[in-house]
Amino acid sequence: MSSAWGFLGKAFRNGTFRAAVVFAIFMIAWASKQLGGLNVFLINSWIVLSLPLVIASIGVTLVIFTRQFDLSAAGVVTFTNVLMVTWLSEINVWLAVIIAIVVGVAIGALNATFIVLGRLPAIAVTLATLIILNGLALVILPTPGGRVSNELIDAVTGPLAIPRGLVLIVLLALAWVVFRRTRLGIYLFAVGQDEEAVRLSGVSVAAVRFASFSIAGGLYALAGVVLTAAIQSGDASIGSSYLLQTFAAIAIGGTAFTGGSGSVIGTILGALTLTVIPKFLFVIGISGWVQQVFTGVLIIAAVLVGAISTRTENRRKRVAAPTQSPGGEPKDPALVGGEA
Amino acid sequence: MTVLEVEGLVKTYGDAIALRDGSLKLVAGEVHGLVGENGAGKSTLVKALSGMLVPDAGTVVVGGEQMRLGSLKASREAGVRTAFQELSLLPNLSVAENLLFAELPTQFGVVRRRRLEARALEMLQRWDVTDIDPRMLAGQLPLSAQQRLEIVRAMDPQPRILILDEPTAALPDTAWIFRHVRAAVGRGAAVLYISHKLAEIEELCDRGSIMRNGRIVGEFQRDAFDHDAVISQMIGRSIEVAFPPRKTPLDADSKPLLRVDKLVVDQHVREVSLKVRPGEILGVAGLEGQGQKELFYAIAGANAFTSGEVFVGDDPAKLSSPRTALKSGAGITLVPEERKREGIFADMTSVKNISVPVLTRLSRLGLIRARRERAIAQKAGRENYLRDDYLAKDVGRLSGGNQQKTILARTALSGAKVLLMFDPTRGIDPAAKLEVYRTLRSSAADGAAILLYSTEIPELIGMSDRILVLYRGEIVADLEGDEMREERVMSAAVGRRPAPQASRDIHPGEHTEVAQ
Repeated sequence: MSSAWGFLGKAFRNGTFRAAVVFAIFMIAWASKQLGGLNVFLINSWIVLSLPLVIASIGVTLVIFTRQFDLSAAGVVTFTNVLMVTWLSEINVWLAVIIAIVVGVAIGALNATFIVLGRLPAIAVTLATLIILNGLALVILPTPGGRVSNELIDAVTGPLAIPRGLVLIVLLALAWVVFRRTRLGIYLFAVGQDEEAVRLSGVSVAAVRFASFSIAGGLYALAGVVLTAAIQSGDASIGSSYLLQTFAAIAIGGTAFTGGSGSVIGTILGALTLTVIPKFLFVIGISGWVQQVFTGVLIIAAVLVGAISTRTENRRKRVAAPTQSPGGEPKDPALVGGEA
Repeated sequence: MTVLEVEGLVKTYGDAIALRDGSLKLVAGEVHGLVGENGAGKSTLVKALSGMLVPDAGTVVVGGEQMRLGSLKASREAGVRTAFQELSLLPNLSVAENLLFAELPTQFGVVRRRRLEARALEMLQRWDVTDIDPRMLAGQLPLSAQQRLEIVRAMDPQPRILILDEPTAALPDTAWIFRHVRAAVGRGAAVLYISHKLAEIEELCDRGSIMRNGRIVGEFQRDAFDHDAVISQMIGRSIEVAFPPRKTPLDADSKPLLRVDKLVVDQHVREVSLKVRPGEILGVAGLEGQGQKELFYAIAGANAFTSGEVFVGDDPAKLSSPRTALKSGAGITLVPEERKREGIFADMTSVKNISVPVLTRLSRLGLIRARRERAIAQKAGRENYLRDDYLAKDVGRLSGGNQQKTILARTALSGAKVLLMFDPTRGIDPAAKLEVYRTLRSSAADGAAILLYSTEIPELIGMSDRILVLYRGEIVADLEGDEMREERVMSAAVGRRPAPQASRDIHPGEHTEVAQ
């Protein structure tokens, strides 16, 4: 019994596990209140609308791991959406998707150039990028509209026993599991933990950050492409909600904004939680404004639990691994923080 | 054969000179020792050689070729590897990942864990480190194991030039490191070995250099090593300053105002006890990193401590934050080490910096009465020798000395009677130093209990009523009167046990309990 509690306690110190629990709670709540239960159609429409947030949040997470910020996600998503329904609507759809992603990577690389080489604060640079891209989107497409190819719509929402969006999410999660074990995956966390140590170990911090911003830019563009297929139209204000939602997803997913730790799986679950909450609240008849209050409270709760568990974890570690005193004999580092 | 030749390296930070003339020759197959007091410029020299900073002037020639300065990569490529004093390990990565961080083995882009761990194990065994599991997180290892990892990382593969900066700070003994340094030298490496511990230098080094005030001031050879000569060159006498004498004798019967009882801060401070009476200046000496900072910051409520008690007068002090420390009894306050970062609000005027502690008293209906604020700041400033025309200037633009006077004026206004002065004259000009000394004297005359740490031993001797010497977190000497001589302080600070006739009996309940 006590070992079961011990296991649960240990699991709860893991941000991804907490995110999974929160997600499961809301998923079950939605399923139980939905009249007639959930069906493939409902799941599919929910997943398709969640997908852009999931993908964009993964991008932001990769940047956060390196202890940086990226506010440009919403801008790239919008800009890609507008590009897809205007300039890129006449060419082969797959070529268009590739071009869109290349543009996203280029925007990320440009951000990184200013931040890494120019040593400018990431918040300022990416905020500027966000505003510029939103402006450009409005110039290109002043009023909502545009044309979306059926091929693209089919590819994302297509009729299938298993929703394609779900398949894509699983693929992204698997890609993360592999990526985490690559050199870049390891360096990404290391840079967030201690830049100086990474530099002294002979690895270029600039290159790692450059890669993280660029990959993130590509993911934002992919999110924009998927969003275009989901709403089947173009709209120069469509991405604005992603600015805050991506960070909300990361917070619920248990990744610390201070970098160096966390998980993309947590972010995926966090993003799905954010989109399932409105579904649940809608079926029990709660209005849209209350949803926001609810989401805000949930974010605070998630961050609070995360903070508490890291603190207890640190305390546990200190007790578990007695630090050797310079004199040689180990000392008991039982922590008594002054009068606190 | 000379493999590395350093010529005239200079490094300044603003008006502080860290390195005036770093010149050094390393010979293949030899261990070269480097000794010097805190702030003598050893670390700056190491950082310059490792490519961590760009010197203002000077050259480094490795194997006949000029090395590009200020680039970690260029230093590495020239064959320089360093085990740093502040370890450069990543605590959340495994031992194996740390050891092979820059060359993780991969297949199809994915790191091969098994191979990585096998290679790390091999590497550890090569340096006969058998008690560390390569799969463990580096941060969970004891400090001594982390230090060995840092050293292994610098030694493998063997570099042309190996720099070891205080490699034994956390090691229980020297056998392991000495064996491997000797082996590396036998294979033709040149080693630069930096240590506070003269006994180590004497045992290991073929030759060595002594640094003081950013300069190499002397050299020594293995067969003609003279402890006392080296110590006297390390300390020298930088600038002659007349220390203002104490005006009234210390009241020997007064009760202590600050009493610290068996204070422990993790492994940094180990059961330190001391007492300071009103009017007394108690000096604390110690080489860098002997626990003095942790001790001062714990008493000031700025850092947490592990166990022990602190009393102000008769009451236990509340040390959960600097604010509660200030409100404990007569009040405790700290003049911190890093003036620019911890001491001043650089973009605010001197007046604003001084008036912080009394803002509530100065405000009416929540608004601050500017004229009174200026008057009070002016008075406090004048008492601390701060000229009136500096009051309206942003503190960040004042000289170090005037910044420090601003901080001292603020300290005076805080009303605290227990003053913790952490190296208050660091990097300020001699005239300002003298004025700081006068301020210390007059605060003491007004009944303050002052704990003074300084990197300059003459200053401690000139100002203190008695001096405690810290070594590895413990008080190893308690000196008073005639015993307060530079040689005595320095010998204790480098860990030499005092000669029997010199050790003093310490009465129970006195300032220290010397752990022998």
